[in-house]
Amino acid sequence: MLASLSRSVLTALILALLGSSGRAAENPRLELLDDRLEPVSALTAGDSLVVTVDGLEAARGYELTLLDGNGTIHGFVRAATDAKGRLGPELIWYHSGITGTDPAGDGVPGPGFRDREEAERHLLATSWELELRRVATRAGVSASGQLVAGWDLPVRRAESPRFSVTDFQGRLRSSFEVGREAVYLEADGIAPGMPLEVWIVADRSSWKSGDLLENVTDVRRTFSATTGRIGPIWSAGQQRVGRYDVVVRPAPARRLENRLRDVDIVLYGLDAGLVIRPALTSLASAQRHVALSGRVLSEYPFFEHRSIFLRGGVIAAAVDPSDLRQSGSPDATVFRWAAIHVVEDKNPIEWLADPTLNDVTEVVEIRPVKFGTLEVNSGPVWSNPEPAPAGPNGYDVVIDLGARPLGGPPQFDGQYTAGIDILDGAIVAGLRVLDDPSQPGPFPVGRARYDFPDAADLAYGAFADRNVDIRAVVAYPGETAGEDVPMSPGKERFPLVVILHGNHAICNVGSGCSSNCAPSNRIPNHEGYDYLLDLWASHGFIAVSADGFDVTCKNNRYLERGAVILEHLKRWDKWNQPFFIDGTFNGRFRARVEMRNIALIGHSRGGEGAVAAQIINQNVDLGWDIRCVVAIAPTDQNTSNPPGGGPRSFVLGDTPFFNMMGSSDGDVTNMQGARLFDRAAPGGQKADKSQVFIYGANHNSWNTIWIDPSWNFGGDDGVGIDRISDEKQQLAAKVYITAWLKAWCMGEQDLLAIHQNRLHVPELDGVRSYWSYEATDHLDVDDFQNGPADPSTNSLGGVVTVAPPPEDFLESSFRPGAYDGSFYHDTLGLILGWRQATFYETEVPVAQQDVSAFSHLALRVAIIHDVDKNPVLGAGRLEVNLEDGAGRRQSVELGSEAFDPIPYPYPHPGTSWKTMLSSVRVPLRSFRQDGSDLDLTQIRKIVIRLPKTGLFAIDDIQFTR
Amino acid sequence: MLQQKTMKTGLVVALGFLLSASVGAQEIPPAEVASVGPLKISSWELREVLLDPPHRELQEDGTARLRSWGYQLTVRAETFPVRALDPQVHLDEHVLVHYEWCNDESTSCIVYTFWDPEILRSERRFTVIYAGDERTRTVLPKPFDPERLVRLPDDVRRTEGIPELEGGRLEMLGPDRWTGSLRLKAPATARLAWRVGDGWRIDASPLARDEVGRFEVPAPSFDGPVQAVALLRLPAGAAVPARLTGAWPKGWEVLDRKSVPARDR
Repeated sequence: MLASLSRSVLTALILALLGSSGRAAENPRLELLDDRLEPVSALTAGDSLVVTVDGLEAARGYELTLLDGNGTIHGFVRAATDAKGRLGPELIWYHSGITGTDPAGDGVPGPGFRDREEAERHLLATSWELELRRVATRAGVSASGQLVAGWDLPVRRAESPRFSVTDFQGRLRSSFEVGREAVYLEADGIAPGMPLEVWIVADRSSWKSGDLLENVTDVRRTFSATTGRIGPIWSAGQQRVGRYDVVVRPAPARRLENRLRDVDIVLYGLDAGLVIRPALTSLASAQRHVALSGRVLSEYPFFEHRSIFLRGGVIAAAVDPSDLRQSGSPDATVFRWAAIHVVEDKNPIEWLADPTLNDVTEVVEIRPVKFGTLEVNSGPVWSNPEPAPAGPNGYDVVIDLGARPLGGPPQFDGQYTAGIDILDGAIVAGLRVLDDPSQPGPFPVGRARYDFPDAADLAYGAFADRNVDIRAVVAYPGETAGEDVPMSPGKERFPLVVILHGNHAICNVGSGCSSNCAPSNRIPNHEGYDYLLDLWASHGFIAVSADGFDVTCKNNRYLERGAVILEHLKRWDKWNQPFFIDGTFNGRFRARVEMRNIALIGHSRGGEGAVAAQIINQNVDLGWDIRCVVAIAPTDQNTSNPPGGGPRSFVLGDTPFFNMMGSSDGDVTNMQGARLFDRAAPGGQKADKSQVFIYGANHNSWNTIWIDPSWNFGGDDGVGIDRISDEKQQLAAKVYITAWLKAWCMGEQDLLAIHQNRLHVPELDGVRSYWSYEATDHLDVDDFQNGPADPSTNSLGGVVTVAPPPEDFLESSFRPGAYDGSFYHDTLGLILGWRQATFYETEVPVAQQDVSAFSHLALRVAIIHDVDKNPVLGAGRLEVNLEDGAGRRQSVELGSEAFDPIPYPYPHPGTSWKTMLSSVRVPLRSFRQDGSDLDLTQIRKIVIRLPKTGLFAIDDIQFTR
Repeated sequence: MLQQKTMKTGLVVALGFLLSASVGAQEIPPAEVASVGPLKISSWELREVLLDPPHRELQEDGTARLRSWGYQLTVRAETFPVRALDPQVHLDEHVLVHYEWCNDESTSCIVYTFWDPEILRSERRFTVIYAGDERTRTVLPKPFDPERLVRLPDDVRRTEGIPELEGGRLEMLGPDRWTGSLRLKAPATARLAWRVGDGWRIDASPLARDEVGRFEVPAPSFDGPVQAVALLRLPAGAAVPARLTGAWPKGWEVLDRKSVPARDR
């Protein structure tokens, strides 16, 4: 960190003395970063200038300006701080202003320094200063606000050796038109005769030792170096369009080593080292409609484009050069000034009518951006989105491209200009901001209950239970909050959700199981979900929790539990009918229930009961329109024939199904819900299905009665390490279940992003939720279900090869007891164990190679406990590579921060290790972005690169949405 | 709920052998047991029972099978926790799943009804466990003993077609003579095996027995003392080595096993 100038100290003092009208005190602390984002004490001539400033007011706009001793502006950025009062990292100045004399090779001179020597001379001959100012207005783009601080910027010479990409004439270049001329490398300050190896690899902004190097030229290039020109590193005829980094390795080993070493030098760090661009064509008038919004990642691919965000979560924007190329790319090698606006969504006609940019965020960000590399033009654009209410129509993001008069601040026209500016949201909104579904909705909560003793003889199930109580508590959208208040006014109908508890003692005296238990002694098992009922009612559901008193404390009775749920539906159907004489609620719910929009939920045995209800409903054609089913820590134990036929182990067909389980479940210790999930939505009966396996969650805490000491039947629940609190567990239920209900009963399918592990509620940070999500629309490359087991062929008939032959390579059952006994699934999958770097390749037949209609590559993966092959007890990583028909490849690393984690098994005291498959969904954009040029219309193979050693389970390799 | 109608008579017959021709119903007190595990099992009893009305068992294909009799195993413990998972009884690899509470007011007694006589073999280990939860595994230290089966009267058994149990028992008459009883269904065979040193020497011929299943055989002479004797049930066509070390081959069952006291070796 740099010491502030005396002027900045004085400035801070004055500000402190004056006070700031209630603002939090500012204590700005500057940190300089090099172009690999490592802290440095001075700017090295030739490097880009990147800074962060801490200690600022949260969610507020600031400007940073870089001036030389003559007061000439060389760098400028405007951005908002995050919720912690942090600005940046912000890239203020590219390559210390070095552009070369003809950076693009098109005869247009670069505006900056000719080369490093010139830059170094100039940088060392003058003083440099960074100014921090508070932005005076939110949307203005040219005002200079109040000075907050200023710092001297130390500059130093670059160390030797130094390498540069040039053309044949030795001119500094980073951009070449494909196929026109060879790319050269020059060195400065190098020991004569030093052997060098040069790699040209796909561009990325951050490299670390051990990263995989894939040479895109397919030729190993070694040189014996001298100062000056080293030689051509990529001939014209072999070039491919794209963005690349150049890696120079001094003293290479004879044997090829394709991992980055500490001594290797990566040219230009954050920025692309080399751009091979298509032949120049006239694309300038094309519409630049591309995805911009998303989130910044700390690992490759460094940015995830997405359009759904939660209120309060940081929204960033970045331009993917792969997108821009198709819509007329500005020159990728020269930075442009960009003002980034987030505005209310407009359709194309509205944009034509009114192109004015009315930013809704804390500040209009202004940054110097280059469109050659995704990472160097990414940054936050809305630090703390708090629209009120969340905009139903969403927002668009616009990059307004501006100019900069010599030595002055950048200038913008403040309008969207088609063909020049860049727009995310031309047809549909560029982004939407959703409310956390665990927060109460808009309706006051009314409460009611009903109790019909001995009212039903169950029509389904082997036990023919008679005189069954029909009893429930109800929460509903009320006119006001309170008991038995009128329904929320209006003619609106509300969807119905029914939840059923599981097996538990029913009586607080004696053995706990007496069906003759006096009402005053009964355990109100069904009242343990009040926290959910109230939430759902506030969101517009009529939420019913049924008491399963007469089917509880008894064995079996899964169909009977379903029958109890169906009995409740019958009563609600009557209360909804216009001419039914309702002596229970006096017509309160008449014509107010959406009986064609029902969700069923169950906990424990009740979860299997909820599934049973839908099985019965469909098998005997009862006609209830069940939109989705949720099972919480369910059983899968039914042994009675369902009415209407079908297997005794329930197979939920075309109904969206969500299964939620905790690893520390001390009751259903064998995770039976995983079997329900695996069997659900079989071929021909497709529906989305979701599963979450929450490390540290137990069985009982979903139900507040079951953990209430006054009911004294808690049992031996909640086992194992890393337990989470009851409150966190119930919050998880609120978030996950409510998202599922609103998605399928209210059409808010954006919320499925929570189940796809793309949206995270901050209050659940630290809770390890491992998701499996399978969308209706997918192409199974390999589901490993085809018999006889043959790991050498995938489900599409493509060839599977593994080399070198691994130690374990078999298609195996993942059912309880199979393989090493750590699985709880009802599926077949692949066991893969290896002790040396290994490639697993699965080919996609020609007929299925166009995967451009899909958005994700997905597979289910789990690490298997094995102290030899998986010596590190933690999350695992795998590299996955797509290869197209032209041999182009792009890799991503599964298990990295960019994608879903791969779980290490949970050590459960009752059952030893729990190996649970978890979905890893990789956006196909990740393989295409940043100029990889991968052709998604002809994906020839999927390659999984397996590092040194490991033992993994894999299932359901698919392209999906 | 399965309805049971247990035939009780006052006639108590002391049985010499489980497998000798039985003549009538009996009363055998529940076996008091010491259990190893958290469930604190106090006793169990096993009965042949008549089911009235007959149990209607739906098959996977939708057809129904009526069962007019069954075996009922009643297990008593301090308490059986009410859980989502069921308490199950394991007899080696055989699992009894379907249970009922003995009565509505108590969670300390459960009863399993089943029909497969193959489960009821001597020497099987008796374990109670809530499905898959090893924390609850409770094992009875002594092997299962079908001698404690409370049988229905012979005429009822004949009418219902209740099968005799397969099984056998061994007794040492002296250091060099062994006797016992055996009931087998074809095509299984039985052999005696003699533990000598670190392996089992297996009789070359199937065990011969009289019309009521009794046998008496001299102990062969070996190159070392006999430490134990086992009565084996072998599946049809099993290959029989003269000497065996390690685990019993798949499908072989030990019906009874007795150690030879050191003084008699």
